[in-house]
Amino acid sequence: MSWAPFPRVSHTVTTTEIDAYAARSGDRNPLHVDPAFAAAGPFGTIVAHGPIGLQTVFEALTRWLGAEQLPPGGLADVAFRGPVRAGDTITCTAAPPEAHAGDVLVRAVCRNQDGGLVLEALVVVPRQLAPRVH
Amino acid sequence: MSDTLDGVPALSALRYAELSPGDAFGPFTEPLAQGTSDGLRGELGASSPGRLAPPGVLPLLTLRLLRRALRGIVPGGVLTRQRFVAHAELPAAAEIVAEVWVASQSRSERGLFTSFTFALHHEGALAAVVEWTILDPATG
Repeated sequence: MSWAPFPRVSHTVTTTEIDAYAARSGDRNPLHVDPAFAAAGPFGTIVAHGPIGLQTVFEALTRWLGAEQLPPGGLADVAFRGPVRAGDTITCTAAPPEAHAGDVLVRAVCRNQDGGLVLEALVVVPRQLAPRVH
Repeated sequence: MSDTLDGVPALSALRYAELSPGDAFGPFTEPLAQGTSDGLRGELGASSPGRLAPPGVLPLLTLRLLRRALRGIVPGGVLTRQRFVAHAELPAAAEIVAEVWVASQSRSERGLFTSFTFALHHEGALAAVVEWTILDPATG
């Protein structure tokens, strides 16, 4: 018996989504919404809010758990490594889940369509909630 | 989500360099609408109903709280790290009470890193703790 594999999830980010996230979150940082400002910034163009790429990890997590949310006792630690631009297809993959200090740990990464690293995530869930395959 | 950020400027006049570890903000009350939770339950752009708040709610809520705390979003900041710890179930529709504080700051060749901690409470109990680190490349 082992842990069920973490699902692979892909999503293509659009300008409409970036604008919608800016509206919903209230984050109108010009890096996300002002082409002229963003052109002079570190990425040279408008980039998506970090949580937009992260959503692929969360979608995979809830599918894997068969649960609606990160369960109490769970944590997710995310390092953002590279920008997500409109038109990028972000894919979340993960190594096989492993036991860790009495819990179960998943090491996930998100890459863009060119293989560029977007983010790395460690997800820890209570052992009894991690799904198994028989 | 109704725009309860009316009256909070979109962009802040503050700069991260003006903050110090220990600076605290709030408590703030931030409503979480069912529709917001449903829109973050799976792929962005899709919506599906549910009883509990999906994990994507946590970065969204804390972004709104950061705007409240700093009286706007500080232009040019780059998100480098987020950490989410769940303590209790959070309903899909809820009223969140949150405190925000500056946990640490450090400088490197890349700029100034500022870390914030958000404590999110629901009905008097701690529901989640979220930590953010933001890089200000303009301040080394």
